[in-house]
Amino acid sequence: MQVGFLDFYGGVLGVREDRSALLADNIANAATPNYKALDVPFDAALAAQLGGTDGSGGQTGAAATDPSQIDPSQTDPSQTGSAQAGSSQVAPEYRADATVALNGNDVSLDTERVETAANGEAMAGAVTFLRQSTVDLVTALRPNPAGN
Amino acid sequence: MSGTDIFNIVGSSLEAQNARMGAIASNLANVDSITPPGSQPYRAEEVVFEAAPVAAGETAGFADADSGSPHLGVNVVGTVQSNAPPKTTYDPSSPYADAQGYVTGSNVSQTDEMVNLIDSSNNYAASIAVLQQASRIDQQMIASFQVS
Repeated sequence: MQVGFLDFYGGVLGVREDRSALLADNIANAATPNYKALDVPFDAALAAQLGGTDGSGGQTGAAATDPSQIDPSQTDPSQTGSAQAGSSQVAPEYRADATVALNGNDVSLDTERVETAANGEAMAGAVTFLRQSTVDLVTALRPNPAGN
Repeated sequence: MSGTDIFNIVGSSLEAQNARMGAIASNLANVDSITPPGSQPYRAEEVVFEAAPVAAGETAGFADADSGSPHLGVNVVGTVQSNAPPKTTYDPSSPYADAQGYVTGSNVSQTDEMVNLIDSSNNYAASIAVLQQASRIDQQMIASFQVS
């Protein structure tokens, strides 16, 4: 597509939405024995999303993995299969700095709530920028910007 | 926009916590139950949670919504009964006393149940917070695209 910012903000919102589902999942499983909190590294997921769209918006650097997160395939063999099921893009990762409780669960409700809030605000922010870009595009398309 | 993913996940979480609170209420109601000799005393029930796996093609929302989420909420897989020994009190005058004068009660620990209840209610609150936040962000995103 010629309008690059649509691809870009589409990718951003897609990753944010996937991430919000993961965070909600973590909260839902805060009492599940042996459950480990999952999260996606945002920059890597965005790079994967943009790389797949063949768009002109894929100019962000393919970023390194967040050092606070670790690849689940190397740590917990019991969840490897589920963690990589159906992931055509970036596989979710476990939190490296989480404290594992006696029942094998490492979800911190506070962390997840803060992450959810931050993720939501970033989503709203992305939409604000997307709207402004659209408004600018429409303005530029008008033959006479002053009237209509 | 947050897809139906979040709402499904939060719904499963609320349902699971509701089942857990039901079990806690039943346990607390029976904390002072006594049984005649020969019959089984009340045993504390505990709900067992499990992360719900995503079946292929089951996810709602747009096509690649499941790319990043290996789970979709939480399932209640069943209840187990506590193996703690039942409480016995010495009360020869009770009609339920055995030959030695002991009355058999339930094995519910009131403290454990109250701690469980607080944990469950924290979890419930966090899920509700995610729900509210998701719909707030949705509203915000819709509003920011309103034609003014």
